Amino acid sequence: MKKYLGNKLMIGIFIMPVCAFIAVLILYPLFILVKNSFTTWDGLNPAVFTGIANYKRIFKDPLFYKSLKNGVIYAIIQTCYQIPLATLLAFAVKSVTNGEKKFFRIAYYIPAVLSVTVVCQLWVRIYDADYGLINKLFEILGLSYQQNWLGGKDTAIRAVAMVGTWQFTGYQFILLFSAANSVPSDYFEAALLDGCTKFKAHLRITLPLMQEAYRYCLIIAFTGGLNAFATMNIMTGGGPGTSTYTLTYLMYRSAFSVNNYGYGCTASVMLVLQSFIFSLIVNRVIAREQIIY
Amino acid sequence: MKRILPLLLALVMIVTLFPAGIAYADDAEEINLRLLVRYSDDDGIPRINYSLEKLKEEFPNVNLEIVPLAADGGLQLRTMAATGDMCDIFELSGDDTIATLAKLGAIKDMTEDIKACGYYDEVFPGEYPKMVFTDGNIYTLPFTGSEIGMLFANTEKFEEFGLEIPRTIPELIECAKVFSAGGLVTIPIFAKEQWICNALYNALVSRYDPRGLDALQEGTASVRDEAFVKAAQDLEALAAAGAFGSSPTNMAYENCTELWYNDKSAMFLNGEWESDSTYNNMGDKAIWVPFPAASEETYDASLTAAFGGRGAAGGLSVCAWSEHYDLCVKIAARMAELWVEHDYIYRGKACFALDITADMVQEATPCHFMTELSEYRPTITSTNILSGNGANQELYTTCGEGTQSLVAGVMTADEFIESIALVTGD
Repeated sequence: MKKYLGNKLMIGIFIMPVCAFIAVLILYPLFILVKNSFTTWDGLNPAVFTGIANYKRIFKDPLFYKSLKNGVIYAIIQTCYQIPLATLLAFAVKSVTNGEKKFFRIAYYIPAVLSVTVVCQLWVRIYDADYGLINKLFEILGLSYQQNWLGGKDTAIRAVAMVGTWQFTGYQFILLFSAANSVPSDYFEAALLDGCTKFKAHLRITLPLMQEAYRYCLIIAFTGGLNAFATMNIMTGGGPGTSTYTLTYLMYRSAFSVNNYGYGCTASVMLVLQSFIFSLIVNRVIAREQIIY
Repeated sequence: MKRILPLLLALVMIVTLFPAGIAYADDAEEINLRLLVRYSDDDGIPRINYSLEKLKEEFPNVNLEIVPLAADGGLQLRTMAATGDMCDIFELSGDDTIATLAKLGAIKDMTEDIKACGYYDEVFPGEYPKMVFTDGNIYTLPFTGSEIGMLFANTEKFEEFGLEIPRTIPELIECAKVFSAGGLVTIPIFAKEQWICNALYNALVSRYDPRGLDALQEGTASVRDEAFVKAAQDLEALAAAGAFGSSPTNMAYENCTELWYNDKSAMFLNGEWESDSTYNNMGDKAIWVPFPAASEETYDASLTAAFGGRGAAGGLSVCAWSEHYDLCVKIAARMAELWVEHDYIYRGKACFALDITADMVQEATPCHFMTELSEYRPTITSTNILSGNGANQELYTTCGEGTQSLVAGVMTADEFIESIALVTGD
């Protein structure tokens, strides 16, 4: 091993493709993004350097704070529903027979592979204020809880977030299910022999041993929420008004509706920072040490 | 099998790398031009097909390849310009997009070219704003005239509810309350699209100030002026009265016409291009009514203050980078003429930018709305851009978001005024 690690040239050659890949597809676009965030640019003609004017403006822009708030709401809803649900499903499916496992794995994962357009159109119908499934269900049950789900100022972002949650819970389920299966059964069985209940054994043994999977799930669920765009674009167009704007939507609006690409890049930088800070925090707090079974 | 699979894989990879296939050298006589046009609906397709047939006769060595234009606010065009892959001839509109493309050099002044081919002299002087851009140059060749907004009413529904057609905005609000109580939508607004919300607000503003939203775009009025504040309050009151149904922001054009054509709404608002479809679907029970005035005192003056009717520059344009620029200008000008010809002869339309229909014989019988429009047009005393779309895109976008919120009832008039004031600096 020492012999291999001592050969710096070989190490350099082996990691070069990955470094080139990261440089071209991540670092260079990021550099261009940051550079353009200091400009006024119409997307076609040469950009004009304006210093920190866009940053000054964004911190005074009420739409920025609204977008920020909506992004966080979306991310929290997505995280809080997806991970517990995926955990429950993973443990439930773990305890069934192999044939049933195959069926449930496929069934839960189907929404994740559906086109986002199909999913959104389906939910637009379900949310319809007059003829939608949800309101009709309330009507049948005699509950006066009918809402204008996608047309309400406060309900719209929550309704849209639930769609993203529904679609990708299956994805989280597959990750957690694999993680749960990779935990050696010896610890679990030993706990059961010692008189521990199944619930407690999962809580005290399986879950802690799945920390690294949870760290990854948490990051993708939360940053996925912050970066969400397609669902609101298809279902509400950011509306009513600006009720479902997130930073991605602010970026889209600035670049493609107002044709101010410089300001759009500034919104993107804020989004990148937001996701980066969250990832950093999660990495610091959860699974700081690698667990080897 | 072991050999076939890699071979198939390699074949697929090669084929996908060359999606256009192998290009053979063109015949020296043939000229291939790309045409970026709205080739996607019953309005555009017949007229484009008609013009292509005629152009093939007039320019036999020119092959026109259609590239469908997406309704994406100019994004497709901008992307093409950014990659240097512009079509030779394209439909162009929007002050901001025109200004950006002109600055880039992707389009250039066509004044001399269209004077030489005779197109310039065919344009009605009243339609020059649709042809001459704000910098004085000509980048677009219009074919339609500046269409006005129209409010239609279903007379049977008004009779059924025992109501008179509203003459003023307060009467309209009262009617909305009655219709709403009876489970009928007063004016279905396809508020999924923000422009129609702007158009409705513009209609209301123009009852107080005939310049409408143009005054805001031009910076000659403040959003805190009475006209804008009162119009916002009217819109808020209409939404509160249930005029637009329970979820207007989920309504697309198709949803609204479904209600309108099937007697499930009392009125409908759209541009004058709607008149054909309304007549065909509803017959004589649908009438065109004046947009309600601010009050009974201003009713007469309000009759001749149109909402819409003033065009911004837009129409067919030619890429300045085209190898065959001069030919493209000639073809674009001729195409605009052929589009007018088609719509006049076969559709019975009446609002064009070009004065070329005098000797043409119509095959389609124009509906009564067209006759009424022809009689109304000379009486118009003021016009404005229907959706308030001008050079200030930030203002237009913010206004669209605000009016959509007002229509959905999720914003107050005061909040709306403040949001606009942030953009205009008032």
